Amino acid sequence: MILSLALGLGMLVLTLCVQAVPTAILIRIATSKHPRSLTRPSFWPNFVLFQMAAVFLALAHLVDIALWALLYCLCGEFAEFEGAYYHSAVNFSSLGYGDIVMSVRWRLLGPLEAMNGIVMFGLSTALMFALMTRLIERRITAFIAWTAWTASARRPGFAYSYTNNWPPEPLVDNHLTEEAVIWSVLSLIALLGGTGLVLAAYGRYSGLIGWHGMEERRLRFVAPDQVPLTPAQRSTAWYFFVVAALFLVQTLLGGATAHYHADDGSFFGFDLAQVLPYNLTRTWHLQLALFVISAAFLAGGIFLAPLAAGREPRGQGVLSYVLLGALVVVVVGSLLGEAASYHGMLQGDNRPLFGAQGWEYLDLGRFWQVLLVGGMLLWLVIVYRGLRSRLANESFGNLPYLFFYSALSIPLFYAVGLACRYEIGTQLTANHGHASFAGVYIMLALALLVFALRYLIRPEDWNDRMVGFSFWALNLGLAWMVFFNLFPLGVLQLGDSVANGYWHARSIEFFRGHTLIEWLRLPGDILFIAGVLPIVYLTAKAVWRPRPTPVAEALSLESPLFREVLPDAAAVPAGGTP
Amino acid sequence: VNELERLTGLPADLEVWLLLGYAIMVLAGARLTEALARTHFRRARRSAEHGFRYDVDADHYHCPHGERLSLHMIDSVERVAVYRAPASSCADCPSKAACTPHEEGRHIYRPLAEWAETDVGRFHQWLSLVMAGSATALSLVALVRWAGRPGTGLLVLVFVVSLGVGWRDVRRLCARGEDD
Repeated sequence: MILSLALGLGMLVLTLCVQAVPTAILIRIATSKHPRSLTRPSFWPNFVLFQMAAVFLALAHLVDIALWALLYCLCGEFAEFEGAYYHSAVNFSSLGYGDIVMSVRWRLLGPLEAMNGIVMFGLSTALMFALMTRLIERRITAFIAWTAWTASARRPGFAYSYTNNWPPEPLVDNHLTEEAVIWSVLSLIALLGGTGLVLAAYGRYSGLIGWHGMEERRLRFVAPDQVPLTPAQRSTAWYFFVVAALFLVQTLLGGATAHYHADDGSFFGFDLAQVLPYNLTRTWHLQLALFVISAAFLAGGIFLAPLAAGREPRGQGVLSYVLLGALVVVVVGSLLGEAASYHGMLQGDNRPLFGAQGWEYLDLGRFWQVLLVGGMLLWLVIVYRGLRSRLANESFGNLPYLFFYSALSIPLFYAVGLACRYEIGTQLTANHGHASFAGVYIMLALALLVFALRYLIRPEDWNDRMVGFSFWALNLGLAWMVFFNLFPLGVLQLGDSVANGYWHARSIEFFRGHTLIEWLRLPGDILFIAGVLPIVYLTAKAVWRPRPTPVAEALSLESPLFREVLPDAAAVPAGGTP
Repeated sequence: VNELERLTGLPADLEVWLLLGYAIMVLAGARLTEALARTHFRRARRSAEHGFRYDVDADHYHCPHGERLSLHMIDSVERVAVYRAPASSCADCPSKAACTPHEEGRHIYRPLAEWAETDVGRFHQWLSLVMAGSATALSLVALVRWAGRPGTGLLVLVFVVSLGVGWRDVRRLCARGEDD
């Protein structure tokens, strides 16, 4: 036994010597100061370094195993090296198959080799880890050095610095140079002009390429009450009702926020600030916009997936209701958390977790953020389940896949957006927010809502005039908001920011000097809010009086919504009144 | 600043000039967008019948191979006139694959609605009205702020022009209502 222990200890020393060779080489490379070193912040050198490390260390382990195998042969346990090597490898990697057991005299060598293996593998892991830390360190150092250098740096012998800030920073004296102005203007002209040229060429010559002169296809939509719905599709009625209700609250909060700009004293005689202070209405207004959009997109995905797949797996309806419940928890929880924070009822460590994180606009606590991303991943599962049967028969470039990719991007980009959507400046940013968020995403969300609603509601409850009113009220109200109030006021604020400073342009004095323009936005806001009401009413109808429809396990794989038609001359003969 | 205003008679205040520029931008922008949309509408219509020649007097089309597409029907709900080539001649035509997917002969759908009667046309007319209204209301706000100062005349001019353009847009929309 003593002899076995001594041999095992000797082997440990021997294998350490073997392992020292690649370790020394890799440490030498990793600590190199040479600018072309493999640790420089660049993908391929780092890739090569990591591959090298893995191969070197693996080779060293194979040599270790061979040394142990040699020892087994010398002890007379194995006649052939191959069997010895196999047994040694099983021991070294602590695999312990037990298919070969050495004689009683030498059996202690087995566990000793396993111990040796664990130590060696640990050493390799530690080395890889150190290597990785080194690479990350170099990247961080490079980043800090680069940003520090570009942010402000004196350029010896020149009157200007490396940077061209506008407005310039007097401490660094980085004024714009003539060249910077000229080339900036020229490149802007080239960009706009070039884009224009591309568009002009497309407009002029697009008739020559691709489709032209082919017969238009005419589609006739199947009457909505003839279209069967799956359980998950029917669940979306609740989603869209929640969307509409949240949207109404969202617009009312927007109105309250705008009212603070017009009159920060009282809300028509009522002291609103006691209940809903400005920061709360503004935060809720922005956050609800995101909730409205995401909830509508989630519901749209759930509604569209069976149309693309032609059928629906069992249990989708239940999953969909689970997601809706989770969504309601996140919305209510995060909004109440923020209210509790702003009213001073939530303090300490719990505040950023469940209440407000302290960002200026999008403020929901981290717990709710994580829950929201989790909900979106659940949605992804629902959509994937719904599309799976269709995806199996499709190429990766086809439309059902594109639908799935875009579904994938919603949770991914939401998670990215959390990091950067925390700062906002003047009304120009609000203008951007309203024109793009409301003008594109809310309108798209409403389009999805109306599309699905047409199939969810009873035909006698559907009302074209109400939806038409919503369309005009929302679009024209938004146009008034953007063109009359947000953009011009933003420009005035920008001017004030240059003349009197950024702080002044955002002060209460600035807004008190422009109350008339705030009051005159009221008609547009009221029109916009009025446009939401029919949507709430119709979605409520779809929930309380759902359309009686046979539950469809399978939809017709040819599109269930429309079919191609040819005009029937018998129905409306030529010469009829135009 | 006052000296400059006195000498030139022009307002020295930036806000007046900003308003002037913005009003021009809004009024011209609305017309430009409308013109672009109308051009696109016409081009889309042309490209749907690319290669086909319409004979206004006889009210039929000629296809690139010389075959006649006579009036098949008029759909007064969709406001479209449908023309059709004889199915037999399309069946033997070498260009059939690139022309029509049907066996019933090539169809052409000629919209009877004018630009202003289409949904998108009406949308643009309303948008132009809202933008002219913005310019009018903004010049009114500026007048309240700056009345009596140099530049008042300029503001009144912007107000009157915007009001006139807005009034024209209202008349245009009302005229459409009477036709319906």
